[in-house]
Amino acid sequence: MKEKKQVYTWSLLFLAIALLTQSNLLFEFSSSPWLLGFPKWLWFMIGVHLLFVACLYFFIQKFKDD
Amino acid sequence: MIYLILTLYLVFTFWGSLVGFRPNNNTPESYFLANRGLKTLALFFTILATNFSAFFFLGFAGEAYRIGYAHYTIMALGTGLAGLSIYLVGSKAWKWGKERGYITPAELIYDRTGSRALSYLFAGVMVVFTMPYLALQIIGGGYILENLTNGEIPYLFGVFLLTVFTIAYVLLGGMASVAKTDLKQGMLMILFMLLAVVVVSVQLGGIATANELVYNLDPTLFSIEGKDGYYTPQKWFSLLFFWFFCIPMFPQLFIRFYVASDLVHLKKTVIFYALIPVVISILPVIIGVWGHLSFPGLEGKAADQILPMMLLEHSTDWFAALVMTGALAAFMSTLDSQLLALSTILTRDFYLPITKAKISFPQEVAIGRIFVGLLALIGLILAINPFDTIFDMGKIAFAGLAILFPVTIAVTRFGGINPSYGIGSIIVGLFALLGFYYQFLPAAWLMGFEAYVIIMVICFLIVFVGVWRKPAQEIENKRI
Repeated sequence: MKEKKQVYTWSLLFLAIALLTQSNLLFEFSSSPWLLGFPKWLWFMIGVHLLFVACLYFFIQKFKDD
Repeated sequence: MIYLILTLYLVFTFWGSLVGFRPNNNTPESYFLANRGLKTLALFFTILATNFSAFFFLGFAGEAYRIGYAHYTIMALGTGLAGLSIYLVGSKAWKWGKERGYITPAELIYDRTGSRALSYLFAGVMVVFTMPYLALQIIGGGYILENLTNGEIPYLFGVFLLTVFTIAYVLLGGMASVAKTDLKQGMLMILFMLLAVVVVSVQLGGIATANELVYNLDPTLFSIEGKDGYYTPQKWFSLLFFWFFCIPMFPQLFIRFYVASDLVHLKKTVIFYALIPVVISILPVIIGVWGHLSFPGLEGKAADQILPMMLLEHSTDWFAALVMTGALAAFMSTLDSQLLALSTILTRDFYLPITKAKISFPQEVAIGRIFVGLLALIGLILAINPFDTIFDMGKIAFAGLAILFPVTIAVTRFGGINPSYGIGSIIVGLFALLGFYYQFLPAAWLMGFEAYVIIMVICFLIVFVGVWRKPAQEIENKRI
């Protein structure tokens, strides 16, 4: 039971990140250059990427899949 | 100077393979899997170098020239997301591989399902759809040599030269050689690409200035939709999740799941693998976008050569040669792994079960070597006249490999599958892929998505039924 709950929790978390990758459907991102001349949406996506890596790290450490 | 740098690189690589060569490389596990003994650093770089290829150097730069910075997110975030699928498949493959002695991906499929037909189909799809990807490495190498030497080494001679060289060092030492070479080639690739961006940006007045100049020239290159609205919402969705399904199915990568010495090393490697694209994917993309400042108006396949063109334009010949040596390292480290993986598959998943031959290990290696030569020859033939851009050739190859993902995840994570449904899923997936590629299925059915999205939906539906209808008791392991 606990294992199933764990699967659902992690699945929901990764699904939330997957939704964040589709933020361009919800927001109108400006294309004008920002930090280092790169557009803001590019930095936002880098943030999403780093969030995903952090979640993956904890998933791999905590998730007992045996 | 260019020839000196190229020669030094080739000597350096060959020396690396000689170090990997050991006379006691005399078991399948030592030759094909480096004795399942790789630790984090070696494992990470061999996976990185294997995966970041001609597609990374020339394909990313060319596509960024055609589309703009949106391509960075698709490649970096998309590749990062594959860290999860690599872990889900790889950790089980590693565990079972160690327990049951698997060497090829199809051995896992056969052992867990008991179906030889499914194993043949699985291995066959892996071989067939890796071939265009293998040819890409040869094509990339040919482009680089031709550009660097101003045509003194013509494309055809270049592809021949690099292929023969790669065959030679693959044949020498097997996986130990390849992994050792990959470590050095991976480091070279990252270092030189980083240097390239620094040098070109200095020439263009700095990163921010260069970006401002390109933005003033064509603001659509900075939009999230890409130039001319290339990434529609459907296309953005399709391509961002594409890598999640196909990367773990690259045979040269799958085999590396078996070579980790411990699960801890595989776990660390997965984290690094997910993280590193943030940094390295931007490098060729930047140069591709900046290419508009120096070479406006390139169309189609011509844009695939933007990276060497920019380097020759904005740095000295010797520096361009140095950086493109890093690119050659990327091609060769992917090509060597593909040749080794595919020849192993052909030998162990087809030749041995079909002939039922009882052969010694040296004979097995000898047969594998014949297959290395044959595969390289087919790759050369495909490279003589590329049928599409580097990016699109890659896409058809990767979509074919992605078809194997639903069956693999069912076997590794859903507790198994009824083999008939596994076979059905792959065959239907192949039919749909070819149907959409050759347009005998209407494009309207895709609703704007890439073909693989629809194919994944269909394949997963079949696989779910197959998981539900799998035999009640464990299939007796027949093979190992």
